[in-house]
Amino acid sequence: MTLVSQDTRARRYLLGQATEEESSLVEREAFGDERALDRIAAAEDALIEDYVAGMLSADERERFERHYLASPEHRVRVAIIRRLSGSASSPWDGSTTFLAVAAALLLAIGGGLWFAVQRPRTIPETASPAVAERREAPPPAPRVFAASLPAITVRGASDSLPVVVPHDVDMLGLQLQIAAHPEVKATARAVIETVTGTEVWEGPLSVTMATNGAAVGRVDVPLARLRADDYVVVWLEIDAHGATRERGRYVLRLRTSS
Amino acid sequence: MPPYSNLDGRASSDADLTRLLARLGADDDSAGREYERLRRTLIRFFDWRGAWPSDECADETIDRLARKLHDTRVDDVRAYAHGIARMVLLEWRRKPVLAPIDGAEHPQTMPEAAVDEDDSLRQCFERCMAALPLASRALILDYYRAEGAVKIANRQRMAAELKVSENGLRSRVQRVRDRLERDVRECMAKMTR
Repeated sequence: MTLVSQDTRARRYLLGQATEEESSLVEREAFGDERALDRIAAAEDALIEDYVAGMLSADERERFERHYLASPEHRVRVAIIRRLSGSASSPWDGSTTFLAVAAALLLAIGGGLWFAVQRPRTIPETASPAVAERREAPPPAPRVFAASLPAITVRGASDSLPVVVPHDVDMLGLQLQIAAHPEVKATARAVIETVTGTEVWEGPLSVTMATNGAAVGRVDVPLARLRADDYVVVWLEIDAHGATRERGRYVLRLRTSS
Repeated sequence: MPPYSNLDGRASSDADLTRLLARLGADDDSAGREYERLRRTLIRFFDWRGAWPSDECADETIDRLARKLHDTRVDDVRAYAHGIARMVLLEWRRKPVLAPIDGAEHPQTMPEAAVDEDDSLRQCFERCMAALPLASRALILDYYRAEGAVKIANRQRMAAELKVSENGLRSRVQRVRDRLERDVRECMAKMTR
């Protein structure tokens, strides 16, 4: 049997379309040969990803929802893959909110501390009620407070200025400066720790190379995860083999204003 | 008590387990590996057949298999395990399902979107992701990045960098995802208690 027909058969099995005889055959192979088990697992992954991406035919989609999603274990699996694929909002699916302040951040490459609070656009008082209602429909954009942190150097690390965040801000957009180019192929992550070393947040770091040999890492941190305190932000690189390397450390002295 | 343990009321003994391991491998290492492989296969079987909790159904099957080896001649242990698993599945399907009176939260009819948007799932997902080792987290985030042709190219790149086949990469990701899934389910169960 060809691989294509094996995949088709596995898909039919997973969607509950196979006869009992066909199902039994698929399972006998899976019990006897680990490669057959892997093939079904791969077909299952492809099926879920197609569903999440909206690429199933109407018939397959209906089958998937009625048969596959009948199991609570499957529903959790699909929900997790949906979140990992970035279809559901999650702090793990990249730094999309950072785009909202990216342009403003570029103005602060010189370093130091600055801020740019984004607020939802207000509706002009002269707008008609209907227009105002339409404009109010989308959920408000998160209010982002941006700050640029210099890397800790041998001298003066404890002299960092506090980052004073207005109380009604949702996200803290951090810009981390680094003197040397990071590994181009590595995955960059930012970890925020308390001064005693307890990890309180971790997320993807978006890295931009500068022409002068330096680089800037950007990350959005939900402020709900941080209280006013002193933190250490760590820039980590994970290479293709999973090895982790620290590229820089930054002091974040977070304070809130009333 | 787990909802699906010891359906026939008899627990397997240490002697039963030793007998099963002896049938699965010539030494402790190979027997242990084969045991894990058989259990993994059984969990997949119950999972794909929609029987849950799939790990408890798998353990029930292994218990029965271990006991059977005491008084039954079995030539092919894995094939025999498949046969027992099918019996366990039939019994699971006949098992009464406890559901709320109004049926609104019946597990067989709850739509997927309701689970996805469920706040406890979101909280548990974030909590369990944060608890994963950094390298594991980076691996699955990278794996599920992008869409279409870019996604395919990304996975080819990852496999090349890790020096594994694309299927090997998928298996690695699946192991991380399996752990994440298990942790999320446990977290959700704790939240609803």
